Amino acid sequence: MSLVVTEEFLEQVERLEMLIENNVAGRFGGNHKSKTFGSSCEFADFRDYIPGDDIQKIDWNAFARFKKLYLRLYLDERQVHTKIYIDVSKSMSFGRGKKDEQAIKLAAAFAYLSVSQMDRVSIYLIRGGQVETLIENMLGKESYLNYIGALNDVVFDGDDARISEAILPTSVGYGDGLSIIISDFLTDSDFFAALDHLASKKRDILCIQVLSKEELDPRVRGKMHFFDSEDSGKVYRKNINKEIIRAYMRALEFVTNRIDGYAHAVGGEYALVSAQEPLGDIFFDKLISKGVFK
Amino acid sequence: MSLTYPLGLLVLAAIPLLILIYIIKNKYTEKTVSSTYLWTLSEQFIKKRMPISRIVGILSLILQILAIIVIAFSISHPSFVLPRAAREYCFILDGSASMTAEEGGTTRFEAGKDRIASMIEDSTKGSLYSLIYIGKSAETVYRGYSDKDRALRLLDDLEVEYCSSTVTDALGIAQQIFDENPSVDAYLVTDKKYAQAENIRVINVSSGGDNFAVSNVGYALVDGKLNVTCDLMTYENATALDLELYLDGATTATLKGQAEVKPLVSLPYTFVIEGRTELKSARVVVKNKDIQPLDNEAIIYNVDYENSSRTLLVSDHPFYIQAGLISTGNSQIDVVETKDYTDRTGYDLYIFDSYTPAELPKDGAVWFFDPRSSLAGTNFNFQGDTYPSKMSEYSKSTAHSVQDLLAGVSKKGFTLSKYVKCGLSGKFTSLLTIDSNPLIFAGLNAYGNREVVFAFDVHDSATFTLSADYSTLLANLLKYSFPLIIDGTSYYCGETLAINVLPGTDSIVVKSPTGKEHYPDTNVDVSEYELDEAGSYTVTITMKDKSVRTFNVYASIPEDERAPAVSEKMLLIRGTAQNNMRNGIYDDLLIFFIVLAVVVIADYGVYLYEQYQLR
Repeated sequence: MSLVVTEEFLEQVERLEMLIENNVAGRFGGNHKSKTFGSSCEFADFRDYIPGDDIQKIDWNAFARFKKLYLRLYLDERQVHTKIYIDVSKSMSFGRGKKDEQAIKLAAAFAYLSVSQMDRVSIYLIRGGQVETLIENMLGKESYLNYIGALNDVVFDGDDARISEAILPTSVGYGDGLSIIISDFLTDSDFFAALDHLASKKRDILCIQVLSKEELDPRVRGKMHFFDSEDSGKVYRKNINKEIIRAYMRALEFVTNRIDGYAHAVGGEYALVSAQEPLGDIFFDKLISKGVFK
Repeated sequence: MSLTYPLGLLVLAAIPLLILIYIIKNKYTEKTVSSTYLWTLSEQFIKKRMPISRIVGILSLILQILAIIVIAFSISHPSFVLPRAAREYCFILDGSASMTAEEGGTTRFEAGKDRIASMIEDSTKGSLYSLIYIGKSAETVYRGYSDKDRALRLLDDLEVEYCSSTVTDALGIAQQIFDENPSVDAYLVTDKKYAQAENIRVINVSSGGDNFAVSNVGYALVDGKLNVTCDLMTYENATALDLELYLDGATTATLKGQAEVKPLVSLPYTFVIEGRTELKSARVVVKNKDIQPLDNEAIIYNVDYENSSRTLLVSDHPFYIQAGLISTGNSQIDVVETKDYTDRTGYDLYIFDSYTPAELPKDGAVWFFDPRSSLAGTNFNFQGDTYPSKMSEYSKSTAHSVQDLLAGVSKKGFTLSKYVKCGLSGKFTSLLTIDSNPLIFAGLNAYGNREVVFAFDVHDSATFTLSADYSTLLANLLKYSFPLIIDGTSYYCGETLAINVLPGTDSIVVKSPTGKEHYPDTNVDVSEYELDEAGSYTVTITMKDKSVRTFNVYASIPEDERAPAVSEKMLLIRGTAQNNMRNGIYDDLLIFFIVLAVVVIADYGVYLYEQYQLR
């Protein structure tokens, strides 16, 4: 795989970040406000004083008016931790699909958008049934520029990505940010458990399914004997005709609907992107316009 | 079914080869894909296939095998016998002059050919065809042909002949065919009507439209008047015929006339032209439109005019000679005195009287009276004036040449005071001698032109020049010097034109009414040409000295061809007709080629379906 994260790419991502900031209010578009109260300067509410509270936060003006002690509450401003999981199985890099490049680009872009909001970012690789940490707790753009180049060194040579088996044993955090899984999801392996687990940990979930053009619209015809790039034991032998193509398209629809449906069921989001699709189109057409970014 | 070329079935050997190729070629293409997951999953979404759809996979192979089978059968040329479905046909086609009549925009002859062609085309393959053509004579064009195309082609090549027809010989040929196969269907295609026919069917292609004719054009120059006569005829209805007379090719006079003519009654008609003393040609035209225009005009050419000649007489005392020539009807005589003579050309006869020119004329016959000296090319030499001791004597030879030249001559000798002694170096015929020396002799000179020598002065013997023998002899010698090039100018189609080939003739061209040119042989004394078209012919004779003479003759269609009447003669092919049909053949390969085309198109359709429809 050629270098993906280059200066030119980073400039492209920066422009993308500016566009998103000017057009989107929510995630990646502004500062993240915690649902809990904290010590920021932004007033949130009043509550009755309870002994032991910080008396500096008593609103004496309210006491003068109501003859009762009220405590001024301020929003707690906490850092969000964005965790990006990349499927590095062989199927992501095989042939001319460039799914691996697209996955790297997406990861780098999401990471940049996060660090731009002073969020912490960690990037993990799902290789078979294990999660490998590539970058952890990256904070700030300087850190981003220092570490993001590691994505260029990622090798997509893993076996069938067993997403649940890989994520469940790891610490995914609790209610502190977004978990992004980038994969082709061309597996029967159970990834539902991983989504359930992330949801139970109050994590926001975004599933990005990357498929090549040939996978989205196969052009092959005639008598074919296919070997699976990840497992040569898996073969498919058929005279590919109109009927088979129809069935394939139905299977593709089934797979995408299955992921989409489950992601939404656990409060997450799903996007299907083509390996050849430009990043701008992905973010604006697939993610923002469809409400993935609110 | 039988196969004309059974070896063609060897093509079927290509079928196993095709199947082998199909098996070899039909391998699965191996390919590694990123994931077989979706492909495997798609198995669950494949609809249950109809059993017939399994054939689709090998449809192309099936079609290709079918194509090979069709090709093999096409090459093998299969034929199917159709029992007792074919016949033998014998057609007799009348190609006589009357078949040139036009009815409904086509000639009877073409209509007849179309009828025969139609029967041949409609007949079952395996039938036999014989065609007898009646032109100048009956001839078998083909006999027992089974090839329809060839039979039609030869039929199409036939052309009408402007002559009388006789069906007798054709019936004789048809009788032979009938004797061999009494089941033959015999047809006579003609415009003539027959009262009765047996064992032969008459296909009459005549519809009987108006038909007029003019014939027997003649003329007489009497007392300064010219009478042009002709016979008029209408063959269907009484009609007032509008006539036109053209004299000398309409260069001098055109006259109109009208005559009431009754059917089948010949009406003589005469044009009278005052103040006319000579005629080159007379052409009578019936202006009324009819089905047969060929007999609506008739031309007569003046044969004397056609054969006339110009004479140059070089003499200081021309009276006796000029009078003698005029008495023979030769009126175109130019006379010059000896002192005025220089070399001249353009004459048919040069006469030198008591004068020998410096050079012998090359372009015509030459007569010498009393030659004065020797001259190169004359084939005789001057040996001086001699005084005879006896009377002259005519030749007693019985040779035809002598007899012809002395025809009508009394052969009484006469006395002379002197004569010219001549030594002959060429072949001459002596007609008159004196003292055993030639006195009058005729032969050819060095240029091949005819030469006559009178070796004495005609003024020396009034006994001879005033006798009837003189003019008779001159007439004979003129005829010898100017042989008639054509004997007549009026002929019927089919007759032969005889052209006398003069010495020094370089070429003869006969141009027919339709513009065809024919070149008769000039190496014979009389060249013949058959007049096979109706109308005016032009005969152009070019001499070796490049002088040209032109003659005209006219050939009319035979009278019995102008309007075929009901023939009383019965058409008869003797014998008892049978109805034994022949076995027909069906070997039309068209169906095979259609099947082949359909199969190939279907195969291409399958190819396109597999290649493109899926996209």
